[in-house]
Amino acid sequence: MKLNKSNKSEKLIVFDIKRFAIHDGPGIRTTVFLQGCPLRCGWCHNPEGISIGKGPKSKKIELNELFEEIIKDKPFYEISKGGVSFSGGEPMLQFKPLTKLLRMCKKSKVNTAVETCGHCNWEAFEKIIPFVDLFFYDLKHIDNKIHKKGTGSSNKIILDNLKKLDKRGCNIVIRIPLISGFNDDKKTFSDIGKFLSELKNIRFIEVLPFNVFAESKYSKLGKKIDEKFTKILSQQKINELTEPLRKEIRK
Amino acid sequence: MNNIKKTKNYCMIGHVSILTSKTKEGNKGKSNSDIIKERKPSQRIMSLLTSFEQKDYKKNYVFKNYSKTIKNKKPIEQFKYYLENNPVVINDNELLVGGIFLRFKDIKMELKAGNAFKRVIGDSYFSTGVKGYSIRTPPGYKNIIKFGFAGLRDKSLRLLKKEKDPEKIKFLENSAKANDLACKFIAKYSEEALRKSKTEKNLSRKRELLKIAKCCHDISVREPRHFYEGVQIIWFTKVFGAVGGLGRFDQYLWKLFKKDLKEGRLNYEGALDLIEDFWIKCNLWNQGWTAPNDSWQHITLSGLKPNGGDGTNDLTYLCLQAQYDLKLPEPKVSVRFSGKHPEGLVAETCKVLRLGLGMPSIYNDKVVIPGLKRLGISLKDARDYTNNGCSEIILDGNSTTCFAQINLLDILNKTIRKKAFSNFKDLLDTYKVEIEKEIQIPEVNSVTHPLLASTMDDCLLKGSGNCARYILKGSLANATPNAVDGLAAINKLVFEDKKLSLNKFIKALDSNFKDNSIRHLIINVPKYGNDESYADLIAKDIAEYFCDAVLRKYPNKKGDNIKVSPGLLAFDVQYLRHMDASPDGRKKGEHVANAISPAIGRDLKGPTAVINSARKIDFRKASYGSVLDMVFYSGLFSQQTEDRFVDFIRTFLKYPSTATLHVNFLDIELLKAVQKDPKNPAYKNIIVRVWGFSAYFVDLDKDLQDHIIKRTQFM
Ligand code: SF4
Repeated sequence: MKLNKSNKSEKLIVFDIKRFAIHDGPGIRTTVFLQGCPLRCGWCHNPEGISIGKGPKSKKIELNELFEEIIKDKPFYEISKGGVSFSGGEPMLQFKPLTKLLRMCKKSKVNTAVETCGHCNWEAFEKIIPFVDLFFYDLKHIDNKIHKKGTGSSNKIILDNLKKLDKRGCNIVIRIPLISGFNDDKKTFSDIGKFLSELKNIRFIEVLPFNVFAESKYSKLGKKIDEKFTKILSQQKINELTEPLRKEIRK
Repeated sequence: MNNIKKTKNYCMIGHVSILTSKTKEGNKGKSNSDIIKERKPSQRIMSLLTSFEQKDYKKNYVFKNYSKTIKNKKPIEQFKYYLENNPVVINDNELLVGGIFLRFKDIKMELKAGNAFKRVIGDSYFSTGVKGYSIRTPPGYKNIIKFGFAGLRDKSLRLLKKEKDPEKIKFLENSAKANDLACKFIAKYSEEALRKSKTEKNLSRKRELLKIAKCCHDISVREPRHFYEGVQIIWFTKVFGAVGGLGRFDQYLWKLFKKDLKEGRLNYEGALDLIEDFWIKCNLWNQGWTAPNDSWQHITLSGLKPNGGDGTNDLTYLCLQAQYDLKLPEPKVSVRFSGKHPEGLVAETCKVLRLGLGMPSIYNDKVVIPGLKRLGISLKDARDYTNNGCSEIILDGNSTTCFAQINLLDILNKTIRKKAFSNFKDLLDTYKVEIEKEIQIPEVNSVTHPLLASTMDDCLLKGSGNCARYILKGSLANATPNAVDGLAAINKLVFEDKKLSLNKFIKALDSNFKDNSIRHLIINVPKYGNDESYADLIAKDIAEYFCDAVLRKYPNKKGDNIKVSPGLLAFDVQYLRHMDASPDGRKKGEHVANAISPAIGRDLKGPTAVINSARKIDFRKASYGSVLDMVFYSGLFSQQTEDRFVDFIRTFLKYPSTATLHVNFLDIELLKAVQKDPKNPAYKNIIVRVWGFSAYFVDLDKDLQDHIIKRTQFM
């Protein structure tokens, strides 16, 4: 494999690389966790990934080196139709070097996925779209006020970007974190359903109940998480809450 | 707790109609296994299972005194005594009959190969009688199917008429006699079944007994002609004392099965019923007389046929179905993959693997067959390989075998204390010289059991137990991955980074790492199994050097039936933990790696990295076998991601690495054990699925661990 010399100095800030990731897109994948996020969700599942360049796991890695690591599992990608996923944090924060890396991956016929909260300039998406096979797009709330309260930011750009991505014909999987005390009501899901039913390129919707694993991460970082977010919902409750969403989509 | 359980899978609600049209191939999330089905075995099999659990079997035992009966007698005399004194017993519900009910009470049951067999049939178990080496050679099952014991007796007699050489005459006389004894023993079962049928009130059982009587009568006078007869004669061979692998079960029984099916004598259900009867029998056997878990009752399925076609057939799937239905620890099952195998075979095999029995093992023909050819074995015979009950690769019915092994870690420990080394190359070269010095092969092994010898191709024709077409002499290297890690650590710390002198290194070993800081440095050096060239290239160098050195020291001569065969396998590896501390950071008392799997707890980059590391080694050079062990947490895969596991196995097969892959799925008890002893390096790399992702179990805090354990109990 020939490496591009001009990539030598460019780096990505990474806080974890997980191989044999089997829940972040099709097939067997390698997931690269990029650091830094513009949002501040109270329930964040990766608190060590929010502040860029901070924490013991934070590492600046050259693109070539990262590419070498990704390409190692190519045989597994090939057989399983897997590839590489970028998660975070928010990968779009580092979209410039990320675009370069994605281009290298595509050149080597590696399937690519990016998980994003959608909070970034549309221009960044413009640049990256040609090299991304699948977007995991986080959708947290339709009501802007509640969104702001929960994440620290408005959802306007997020919803706009999602519509644009959809219009461009990108493959999108919607991920909805289901958080008690934030969006555990039927109206939210009905609103989300209405919003999504306008879109054309959604392959999949995943509802992810609060991730208990996060709690232990907080204690490791010496932080505390607001208890109201950590309540575990029963499957019955989850089904009830998401029913309006199902209904809207079926329409 | 119910809530906890129920939220375990993140809920996916994307499968609704407007979305599926856009859902791509890779997202479909289902493994395409549809041959093996959820089903309940027949009533008869269920009853057999219960009686087996109640250990009814043992009440038929007859005890004799070994030293007063057959001690110091010739094998043929011992065999005669055994067959004449082993009680003939037909249990309720049995269709397959025969068991080992004779026990010698004055032989201690030791957990050592072979000795356990002595207890039942004296010295005449099917061994290849050389002291000091592991000795077990499975009989030629395909010849037993082809000729029957009656046919082998007649063949011996025919050859006897023409023979002049007194040695050969003796051999052929014994062969004829042993086969005749076998026929007589089988005939006794026919009489017993007939006798029982006369008083049997239950009509359907009466019919079964008559069926048994006819079957046993027929196979006592001729070769088996039906599937039922075939399975029965294989079981009788086990009763006669056969040890080692059971060979290519779905291949040597295929013709009989196909014929019965065609002529309407048998259907799939009926065949499965017999196979399951056989499976249950294998478990009775193990209770009686072998070391725990290491019974060598190993069935090989599928793989290339001698003519080069793929051997997968209906029996392959029926055997897998039997395993799936019964979930018993015996027999062990392996599936060979020829490269021409049907796509579905991988998924079906994975379905059985997911039961968590650690079976089937997976064999890659692409690695094994070229390896055997290198030894000078004909392509036709190489394609007919099987294992010898464990992972040693032998030729089905064509080879006798035994092996010797050396300990690469021990040799490294001695080498580094030999002299002062100027650089790493100096050390490596000295080490290699020491390895070559130590390499050994077993003495010539002959087949002492007259019945066994007569079942092997060529033995009868050449009139000697020493004349199997191939005598495979395995030469194995133990603890290779630990030695590799040790070399990497010395190279990095002593020669490259100069963090400490070799003397200091050795002192740390001598003190069993009293100073933990040095051990810490060692642990942080790259290790084999993490897909990093630093250690992997040393692994390639050492593993391939060993295999080459074996054949350099003991070259195989063209036309000679003795074939020396190098292997990256380990035997009795559990005892090596008592070795002194070693340069890979292993303390005295800690286990060494199995075969060519990464050292315990040192592979931290997941299963793909392990496979990639191994793939750097050319395992065709290790023709006697090479094994990679893998452990998955059984909850790692959800329904949506089950196909990832199948694809993982597919990748292993398409890009060859080791000859054999063992996959285990961990259960809850193990996770509990991890909690009790979280520092144990063996537990470091256990991956669990948390929600939509996975993490190392030891990295989770206690509460979350409890959580996973609890929710797993509901799976
Ligand atoms: S968007 Fe994701 S990574 Fe960013 S703060 Fe929210 S949960 Fe954390």
